[in-house]
Amino acid sequence: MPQVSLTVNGTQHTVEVENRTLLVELLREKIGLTGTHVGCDTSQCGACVVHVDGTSVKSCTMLAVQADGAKVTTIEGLAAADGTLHPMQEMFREHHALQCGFCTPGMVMSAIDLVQSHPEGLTEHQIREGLEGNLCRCTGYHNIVKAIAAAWPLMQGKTMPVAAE
Amino acid sequence: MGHDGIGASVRRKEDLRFLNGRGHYTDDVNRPGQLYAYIRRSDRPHARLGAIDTSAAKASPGVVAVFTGADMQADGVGGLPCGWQIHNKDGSPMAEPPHPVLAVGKVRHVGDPVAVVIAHTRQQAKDAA
Repeated sequence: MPQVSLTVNGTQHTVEVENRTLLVELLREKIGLTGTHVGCDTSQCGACVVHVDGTSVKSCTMLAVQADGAKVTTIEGLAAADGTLHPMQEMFREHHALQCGFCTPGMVMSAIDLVQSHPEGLTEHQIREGLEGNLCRCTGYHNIVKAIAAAWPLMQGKTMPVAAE
Repeated sequence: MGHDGIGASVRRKEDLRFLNGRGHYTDDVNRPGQLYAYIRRSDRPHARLGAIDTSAAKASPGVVAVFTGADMQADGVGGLPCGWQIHNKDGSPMAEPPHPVLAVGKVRHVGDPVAVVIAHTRQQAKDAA
């Protein structure tokens, strides 16, 4: 069986996997990080989104062997060691952008990549389009959009140049 | 916002664990010796079920048990009840067709559960199914 070496939330892991093992299975079953969820098994729902080398990836769509040598960040790796939340987590909390919490890890990871890749600012429309790969079945998306718009200035360290409602 | 008492926005106690990936959902449970079920589903929209040969699945590595609709019937496992029983205008109870947990005699849609395989790992159960 192939061996995969990767860094997850700053910790180095070397794990034996099958060729067909998915990155999400490696994270949940081999490393025990169950914060990353499997909602659909068909790459539609986005509950499994993690960052691979800084970019958001649906971890049910990537083979574990493809992540060999990569730096992976999951929802468990966002908050600081002292418990201080990432601004995106804080804004989700502040704006009530979650109810059951199942889609939340994927939403937060996608949202962070969305903000980081748009230093020029984000309109409400862009935020909604940016979330099209993430499904939420309880809060609706309105508060999630609000949370992301509120996190943008905190993450970019400046006021939002375009008006996101 | 800006209210005290009535009308104040209150932070939810559970959000912190959900936001840190520490929610504990059914799929997150992982106990020593835990077994996995995988359901073999119909690939036909409407078809009669002949005899189901489970011997190959039962002989597959890691498999602990294989059950079909006939096994469920033999063990007296009932169907899925309708959650909301209503009455017709004349007061008679509504017709409630049986919903066996695993198909008996006939499958009625693509995805209709036909058999369930229990194995030591999810991959073993899936391979056998």
